[in-house]
Amino acid sequence: MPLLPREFKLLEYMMRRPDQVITPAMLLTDVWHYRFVPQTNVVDVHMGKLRHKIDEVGELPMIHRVRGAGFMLRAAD
Amino acid sequence: MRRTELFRAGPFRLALGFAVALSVGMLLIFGFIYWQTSEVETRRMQRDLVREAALAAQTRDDILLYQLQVRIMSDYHRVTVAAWFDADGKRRYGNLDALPPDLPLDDKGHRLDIRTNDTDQPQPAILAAAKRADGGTVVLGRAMDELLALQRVVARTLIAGLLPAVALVLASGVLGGARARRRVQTVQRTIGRIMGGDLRERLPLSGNRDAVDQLSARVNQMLDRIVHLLDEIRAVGDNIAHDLRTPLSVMRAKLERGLAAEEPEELRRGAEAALADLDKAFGMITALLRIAELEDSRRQAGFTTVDLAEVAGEVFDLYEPLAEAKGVTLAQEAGGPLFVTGDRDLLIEAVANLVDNAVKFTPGGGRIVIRTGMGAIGGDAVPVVEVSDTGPGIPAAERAAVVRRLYRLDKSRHIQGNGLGLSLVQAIATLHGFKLVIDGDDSGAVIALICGAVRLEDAETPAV
Repeated sequence: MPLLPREFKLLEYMMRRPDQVITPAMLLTDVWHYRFVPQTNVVDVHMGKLRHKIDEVGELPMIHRVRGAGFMLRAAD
Repeated sequence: MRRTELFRAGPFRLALGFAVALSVGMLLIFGFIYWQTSEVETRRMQRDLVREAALAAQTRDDILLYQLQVRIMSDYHRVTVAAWFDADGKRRYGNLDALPPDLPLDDKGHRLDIRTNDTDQPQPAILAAAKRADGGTVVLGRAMDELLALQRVVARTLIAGLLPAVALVLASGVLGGARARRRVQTVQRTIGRIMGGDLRERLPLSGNRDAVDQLSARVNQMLDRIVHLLDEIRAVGDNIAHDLRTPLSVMRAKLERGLAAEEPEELRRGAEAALADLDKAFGMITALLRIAELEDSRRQAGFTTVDLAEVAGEVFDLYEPLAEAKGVTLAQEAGGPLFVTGDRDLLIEAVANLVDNAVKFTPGGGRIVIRTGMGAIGGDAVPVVEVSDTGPGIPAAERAAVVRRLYRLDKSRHIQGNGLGLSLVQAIATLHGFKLVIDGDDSGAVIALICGAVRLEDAETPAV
């Protein structure tokens, strides 16, 4: 699976915290190591690309979007 | 006015100083005149008398007698002393009865009180005596009363001139002190009113451009600035209230709708949407606090060497997917490493904010370029990071306003954002001593962060 380094880190971070709501601010702080939160949804777009790469069409998605809060990785069972 | 206050007043002290200086000056002048008239004149007379006495001592008897006679006869003012005594001390001729016992027989003039035959009282005189070959003595002298009279005149003139002059200086000091005191009191009263809350009040100017006037003018300028800042703070406060009100009321409506709904799923969706609005409000408050923190910060201790090209690369990586999703081309142009001194995180934040804005305002199909390189500013080459877009641009008239907190262009009202992005960039630039230059036209904005110690007034659009 061709993942960019940043996307790999993002996935790793999500996988270490299954079934937890992860906010964009947490991702920016811990994955990008930034101390600020941009006004636009940059993180959403990164996450969208990642989801696009790891979830096969027709499969149950691994990463869920929690509206208004962030994302959650749920193991497909 | 209390007396002690008068004497404490600066002008009076100054006048006192002048009076002392004037007195010293006059005393010096008159002292010199006094010294000239007494000492120098006395010495001259002594020298003359000694020489004349020495000559007389060698003169033939008959001629000496004749000379002494002429000397005494022609002395209408009765100031001359002339006498000739033989070896036994007996007078042969002259207006002294006897040889003055305390007059030494040397080649010097001496000052003695002496009574001649023509005067009733002994009076100060300068005398010189010389021994003749036959053992006799010639005494020549001159009373000093003219000299003393002259000295008295000098002393009287000194007193007569000095006292009124000192009085005049002191009087002007008192008057000047009172006037200065009145002005200071006016200023104090005005300041009292201003401190009491009347910020529109200004210090009075007398119009004579003196030190107090200049100081008052500066204070007035300072007050203008303070009022301006207060207005700005008030405007920011109003804007914060206004900008918080919108997401809060939307949130309220969503929650209300959710509560009124039959379906629990709908309530959940309403709560989620409200949470998003809440985040927006939080984001705004966080950004405001962050700007305040940056503006307060005087710390530059954490500064290190930062590669601007690397910073631009980071921001490029962060925003590239977003731009792509919006159908905007994001490009990075870097001519190689570009080192500046600064806080890496803050510089990333500043550039990210610039790119964030560019992405928001550039319509689909547009192009955004992050450029890093050396720019020529006022003859000096300085590192510049520049973000240009093909959005609507920022009108020249509003370029100063957009860096103010919560200021938003009318045409950007519909675009998500809190009007704090450029304020934050400005705060970061100020903290670094960098300059934020906004340029471009209606076919796109060009925003540059000039990262060098530039003479700011020279800073024009950088040619990267």
